[in-house]
Amino acid sequence: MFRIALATMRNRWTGFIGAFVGTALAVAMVVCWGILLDSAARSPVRPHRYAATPVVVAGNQTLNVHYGQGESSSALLPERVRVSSALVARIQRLPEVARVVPDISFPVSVNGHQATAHNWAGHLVAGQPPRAGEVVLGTSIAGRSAIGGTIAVRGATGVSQLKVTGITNGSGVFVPDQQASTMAGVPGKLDAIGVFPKPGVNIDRLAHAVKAVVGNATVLSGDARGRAEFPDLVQAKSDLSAIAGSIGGVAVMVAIFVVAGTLSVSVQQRGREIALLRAVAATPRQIRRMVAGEGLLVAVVAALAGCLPGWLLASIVHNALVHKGIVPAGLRLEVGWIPFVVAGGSAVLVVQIAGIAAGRRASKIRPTAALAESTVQPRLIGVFRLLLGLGALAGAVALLSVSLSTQGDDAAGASAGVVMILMVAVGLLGPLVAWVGSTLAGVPLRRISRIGGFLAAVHAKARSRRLASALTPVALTVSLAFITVFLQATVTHAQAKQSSDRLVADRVVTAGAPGVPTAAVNRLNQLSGVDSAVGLLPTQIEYGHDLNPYDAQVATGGRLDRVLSLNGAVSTNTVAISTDLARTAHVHIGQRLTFRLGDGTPVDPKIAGIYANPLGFGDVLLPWSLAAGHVDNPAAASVLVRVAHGAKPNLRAAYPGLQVADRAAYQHQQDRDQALNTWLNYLLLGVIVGYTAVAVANTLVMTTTERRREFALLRLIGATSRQVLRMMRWEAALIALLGITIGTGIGYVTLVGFSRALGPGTTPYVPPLSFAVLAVGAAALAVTATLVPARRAMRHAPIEAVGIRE
Amino acid sequence: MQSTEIAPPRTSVSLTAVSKQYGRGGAAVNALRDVTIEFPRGTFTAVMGASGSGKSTLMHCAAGLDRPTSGTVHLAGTDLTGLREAALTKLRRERVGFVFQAFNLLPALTVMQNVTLPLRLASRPIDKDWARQILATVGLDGMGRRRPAQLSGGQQQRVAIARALVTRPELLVADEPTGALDSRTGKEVLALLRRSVDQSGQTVLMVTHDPMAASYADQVVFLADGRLVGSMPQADPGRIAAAMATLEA
Repeated sequence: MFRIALATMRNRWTGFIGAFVGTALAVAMVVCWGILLDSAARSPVRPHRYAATPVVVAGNQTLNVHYGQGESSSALLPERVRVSSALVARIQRLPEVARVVPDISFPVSVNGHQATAHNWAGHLVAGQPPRAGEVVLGTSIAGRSAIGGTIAVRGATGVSQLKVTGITNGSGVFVPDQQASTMAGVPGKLDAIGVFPKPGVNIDRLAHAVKAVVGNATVLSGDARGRAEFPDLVQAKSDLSAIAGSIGGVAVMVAIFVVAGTLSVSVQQRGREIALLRAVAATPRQIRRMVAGEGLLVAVVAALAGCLPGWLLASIVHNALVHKGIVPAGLRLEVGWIPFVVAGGSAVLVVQIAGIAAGRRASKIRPTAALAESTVQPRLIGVFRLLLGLGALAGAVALLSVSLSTQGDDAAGASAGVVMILMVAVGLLGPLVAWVGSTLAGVPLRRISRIGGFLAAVHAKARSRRLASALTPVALTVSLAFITVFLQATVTHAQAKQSSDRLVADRVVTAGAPGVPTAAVNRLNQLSGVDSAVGLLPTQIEYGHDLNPYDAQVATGGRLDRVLSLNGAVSTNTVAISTDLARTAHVHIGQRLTFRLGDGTPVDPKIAGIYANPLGFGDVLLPWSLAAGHVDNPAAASVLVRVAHGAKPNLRAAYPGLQVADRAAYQHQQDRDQALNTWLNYLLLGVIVGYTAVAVANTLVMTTTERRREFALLRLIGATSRQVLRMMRWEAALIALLGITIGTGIGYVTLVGFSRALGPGTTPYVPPLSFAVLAVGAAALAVTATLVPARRAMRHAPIEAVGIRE
Repeated sequence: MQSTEIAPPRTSVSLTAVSKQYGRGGAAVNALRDVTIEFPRGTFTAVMGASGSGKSTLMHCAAGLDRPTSGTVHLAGTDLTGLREAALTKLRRERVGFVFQAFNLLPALTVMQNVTLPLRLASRPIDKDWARQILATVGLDGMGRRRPAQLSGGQQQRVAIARALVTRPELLVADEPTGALDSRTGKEVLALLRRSVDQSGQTVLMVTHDPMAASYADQVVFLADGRLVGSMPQADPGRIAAAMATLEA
């Protein structure tokens, strides 16, 4: 039977193009996200600056928590975990150690340039080291500053007037070792400590000896040193892993749909041929094996063909991510064999399973069907399939009710499940849905168009299986596009609304990368005409056994309620949390909540307030005294200022380098930050929607082309090709209408669940114009993918096409 | 586009010096060579010949499905030679009814919908009584709501004939209408065609290689190698078969 399969394919290769294209694209998708996932896992973080330092001591950036009975979870900490400078002396005393080098870097502003400052010893720069009150500048920073002059270096804690004692290559700012930690705002702490052995001491022995004296800090050697040097790269790997994992998951699900769908259509198309084989005494078993054999061939060839485009796609996506600054350039694309083998293997597996299902149906075709007028439409829907479909639908309804009765992450999680299960239900119940849909739509359709509409309605109803194969990918595409576009729109809209409602300050003051020091916030508060100025520093906390990250703000300065309208009792001296977190953690005002600060330090402050509008702000409000010592750069990222009525204080004069924006400019900036998220979302899911769009075209081309003989017969009994095309246009319109309706339904239901997760009173935000674009796009795709092959199918004289050849 | 030339009144279809060539140059195939023939109104003509004799091409040219390379075809007084495809289609659906060997019906449509389809395509009023009457004539009374898949092969051919007759066409063209049927149901279908000629004055042109089928016709014409090589008036199958054998020898 395999030989027949081979011969059939050689002769009828056009019939397999659809299945081939669908499978090859699926493989490309899986390869693409697989390579990105693999890169996130394997891309090395090699030491660069630390390469010449045999052993590096650094804080443990990964937090591991053990709880219950042997259970544990771990998380990458958002703020840099530093080490105590006291360790320097302790390590120095070890007999194995020849030399110890402290290292710390922090953002500064010099001569109007944003720069990174380092302690002198951490950098192998030739020349005389700066002493207290002195600085060495890189040429690109120095500008017109000359040796001997004084320069203002602005950092997290304030401005230092330093004497320039040297100018070196590059863009660095080098400060004395003793002064560095203080200027960085983290006195007594270092990023890392480099350790050099005495001659004859090997690295393992050195590391072992150092480990004994450094407590919780980690001792790194070899490539692992890169983790201490590039913590942002480690974070980016984790981010990319999450992105590629979740998008890849959706991609795989979509790929399974598409592959199974195209394969079943390609078997459906050949009903007569299979019946003929049955007529010449092929057993059902042989038919099944033939269909499976064809599937295997298609899968293997398609898997090979999909690898290269997948690789290409991965490099395009990677480039885009780097270009947008979502992933640092240091995170390179690592192309190994695993994604290819996984993608190819799973394609073959899915095609085999789909082939077995399609072959089972094919093998049930009666031999006499070969001689009958036409392939008889099989039963509308099998009992087993019906039950599975109804089960999926019930599951989706149950899950939806969960998402509607809960809030926060539970609701979001449940909604993500709803979309998957609903899609499966539509796939299973497709023929039934198509029958009901075409029956309902058929009534007006027959009236509107007496010829084309009538024929389209009759065909759609009588051939609801075929309609279902075309409709499912349309619904899938529309629902995915709907969720992609409008979930983001809903979040952005809700955030923008809450932000704008929340912000009652009328000026926002910023100062570039080093931020605004607390001293400057205090000075702003003392200006006459300033009602209240509150500095805010965004960070994250980890809550619970599974270390769920929550956005937080560290606040300092004047009265909070004068600049932000948080619905609840809040101040800059106490801890407040959002209603969501309060509900999740089961805490009330006055109780204590245990969580971890951004660098992993556990705290259990008393909760003084609970507020209801955290979107775009954060779920936790922390006082400066509690949290500022546990962040990278302890300076306010922005200062919200309320000016007394009619007063015009000169805010810029309060501190060097301040920029003052009004409410509108500030909100605009926040929207632009949000736009990056939107862009990412569009890119990632756009790839998937693009793929399903190809699948839609693929399926429609297949189902239209197979009707060549029907078109010919229609023309012979007097239909003009224009009438046939009109019929097909109505059919395509019906497919589009049903697909868009179902897809929108699924999307909307999911969105309702998600918007519940954003907080009470949040409703899905669906701008009519965007929706119109989406619907018109889907309809245009369906109509084009139907009419182009229909026109092609009618290129030949009808008398040639009406023959026995199908 | 229509010619003002008047065809002889008693003639339904006439072909004058019709040649049809497929392909060009050395690979050219002459399917018809200088064929001139008339099919009088209200007669039943059978066209016979071996495979490749050009009998199907003759039928296609007569019915306006194909255009001759040279020569003219008149259908009910209209010169088909100069008509464009859209005009030809219109003419076909008004003046010609088709019955093929198999695959005549749209499986998604009911029997009644199949029968009335040509009227619908021509945007003519659908006279259900007339359609029912025709269905009764072909012996399918009360089967209007069935679908093709629920009918036997002979019944399906009779639906096809009913559909061909529903527009009251000038010409009914049948291409091996009994080719896929057993001899008993084949005879029923042939008797039906015969009756349409005798009772309603229908003109029927049938292509066949079966002497038995040809014996139902008023006139049998023979084609060989694209040329008209003979004709005989109504005869029994034995004589037709003998004539065929002489021609092929």
